[in-house]
Amino acid sequence: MNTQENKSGIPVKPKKGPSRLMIEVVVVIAIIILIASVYIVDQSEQAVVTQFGKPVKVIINPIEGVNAEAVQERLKKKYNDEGIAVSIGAGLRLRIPIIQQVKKFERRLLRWNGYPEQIPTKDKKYIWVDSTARWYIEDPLQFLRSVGTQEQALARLDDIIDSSTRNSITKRDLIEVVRTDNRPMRVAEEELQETAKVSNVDEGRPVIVKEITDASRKSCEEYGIGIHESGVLIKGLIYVDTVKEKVEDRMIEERLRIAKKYTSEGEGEYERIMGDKERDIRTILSEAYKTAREIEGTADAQATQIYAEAYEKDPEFYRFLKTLELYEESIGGNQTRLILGTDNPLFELIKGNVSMPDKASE
Amino acid sequence: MARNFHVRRTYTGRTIDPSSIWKIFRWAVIGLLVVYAVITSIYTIETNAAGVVKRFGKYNRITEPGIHLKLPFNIERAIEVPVKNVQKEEFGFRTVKAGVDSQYLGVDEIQSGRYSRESLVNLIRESGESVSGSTNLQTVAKNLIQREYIMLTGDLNIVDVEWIVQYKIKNPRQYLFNIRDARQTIRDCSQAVMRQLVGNGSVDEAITIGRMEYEIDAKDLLQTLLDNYETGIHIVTVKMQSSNPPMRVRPAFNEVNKALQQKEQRINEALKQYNEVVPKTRGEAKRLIETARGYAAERVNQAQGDTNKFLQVLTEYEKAPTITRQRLYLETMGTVLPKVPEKWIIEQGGAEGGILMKLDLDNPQGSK
Repeated sequence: MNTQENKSGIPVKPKKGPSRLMIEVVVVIAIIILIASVYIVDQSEQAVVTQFGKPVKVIINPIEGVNAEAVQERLKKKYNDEGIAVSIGAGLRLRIPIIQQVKKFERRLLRWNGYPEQIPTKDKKYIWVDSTARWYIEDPLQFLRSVGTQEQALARLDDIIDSSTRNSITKRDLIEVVRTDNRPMRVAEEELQETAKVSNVDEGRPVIVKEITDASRKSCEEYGIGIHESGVLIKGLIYVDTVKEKVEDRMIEERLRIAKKYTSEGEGEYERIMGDKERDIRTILSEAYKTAREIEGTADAQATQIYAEAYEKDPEFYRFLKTLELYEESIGGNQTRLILGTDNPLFELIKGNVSMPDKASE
Repeated sequence: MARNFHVRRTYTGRTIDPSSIWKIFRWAVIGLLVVYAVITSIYTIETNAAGVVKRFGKYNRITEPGIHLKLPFNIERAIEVPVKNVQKEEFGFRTVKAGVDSQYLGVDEIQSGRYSRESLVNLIRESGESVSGSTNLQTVAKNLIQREYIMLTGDLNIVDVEWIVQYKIKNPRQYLFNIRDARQTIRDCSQAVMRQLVGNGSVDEAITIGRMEYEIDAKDLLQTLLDNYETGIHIVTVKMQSSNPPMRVRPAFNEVNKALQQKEQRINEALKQYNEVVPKTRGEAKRLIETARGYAAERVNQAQGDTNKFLQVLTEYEKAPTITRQRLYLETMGTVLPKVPEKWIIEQGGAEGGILMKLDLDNPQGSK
């Protein structure tokens, strides 16, 4: 067959051997075969290669931080006898087309979310516990053999984690599940200190959660499922409705008691301050009275002393002067009537000369 | 060659060589491949994002915002991860519409019917539950939200806590390849962490005095947990929006506050009364004392004045006692007698009624 195409349109000599079309067909077929014989394992995936249903290769892709070589070694040892190859990592890989099938699995951390479970604690308190977990497919082949799909795995996890949770919680008092440690709790008001007193915890929530995690991890091993070492979380923990109501009643009672106490304290304080007021007024006034009297007394004494000292010099003259003063002060006024004896010194002169009676009145 | 068996005549009369059809087809294929190659080897990363490039599915490199080249035909694929966006998760409520008049969806809204069907469906779907025709949306949504905010405290009380978590992606590689559902993981971890903290403290700590510490501790614990999972998530902040006692208990808590205020008020009232009176009384006391001091000064001064006068007079008197005595006496009489309106002088030792004379002061002259 001749082909005539040429860019310049000038006829070319027919080629010997396979024609260009043939080559092209071969190339296309080759490409198809190539495409069929490569596959991509994504960074977020791992895979199992099966040949007519029989697994021949496991491609693991452990998440960062996990010692990939160690996981590979462990799985290699495990699958050596079966003649199954184990290799690590994402990327482009080869397979025999048609004969070999590739099953891909998640390598990322996955979420398991449980339904809230009603669990009684050892001290017979009923609570709803809502747990969740981070899990991953640790051994894709075992996962494929034992559970197959993620949905199946979630169902297994329901059973495993729920029962681990139940086991760990039912054998402990509520306080162990609620509290983390024995840190003293602070209260807003001194009066509440009593309400914040609870029995000490021996283990606390983190220990219990660890126990649940460890138990679940162990049970998951046979399914090729891994649970992160801090993978199980208690994300919900509430009282069942009947208990909730009782607890609320108790809270109401506690608070009302405190409210009453405050009210009465207020009244008490009021009365106390009123008492202070009365006491202070009386104390201040009486002290002032006392001081005033003392000052006055001292002054009186001083004055007395001064008088005594001075008048002592001539008591008779003092008496004379004082008497005169007294006359001056006491005699006089409209109603006074003065009756004088003629022996009064005043009248010594009168007796001799009666003709000047007006003199005294001037 | 001109008369080839394959030559066809079209209706328009143009001849088409079948080999040239093949040629056009081939060139078209090559052209398309080239275009496809060019398109698939260019990619852009937005400014708020980072690019993660996978080669044959395997992580290869991280690229900065801008326009970049990669190997074509999806040999390399680029994934854009919004690393600079701060994202938010809400617990105990949902913001339906953010903005000036934000609309929230909480238990109150659900109970009072202030919600749209769509927002309830969204809420339920986001929580990983399925919605079917028979689902009672109201009940399911209410339960979901209640399960988020009802918590037990360390003193075995109940408290309702609503909070938000803001986060961004710090490591796009981890974010893409280590965790499938990062958002739900943040939600789960956040709830577990908040419950652990609230469960270790008193109800008062959750409601008032411990909130700040809880926010800080929650951020740290959440970050530690997410780092453990190698999620590549950075927690920006944890904020407690509201934390309250359960609805039924709230009036009792308010009662305490009211009583506390009343107590303060009562004390203030008493102090006011005290302060109204006592300082005044102190002044009065001062006045009493000062008055006494005045009296004292007066008394002593008077005494000194009196005595000084006396002593001075005495000194002079002693020089001429007799005459001074008489003078003083007469002077006194001189001032005293005019003041007396009626004066009688009686003859001493005389007969009864031996009146000598009456000084008549009714006489205007005498009264002067």
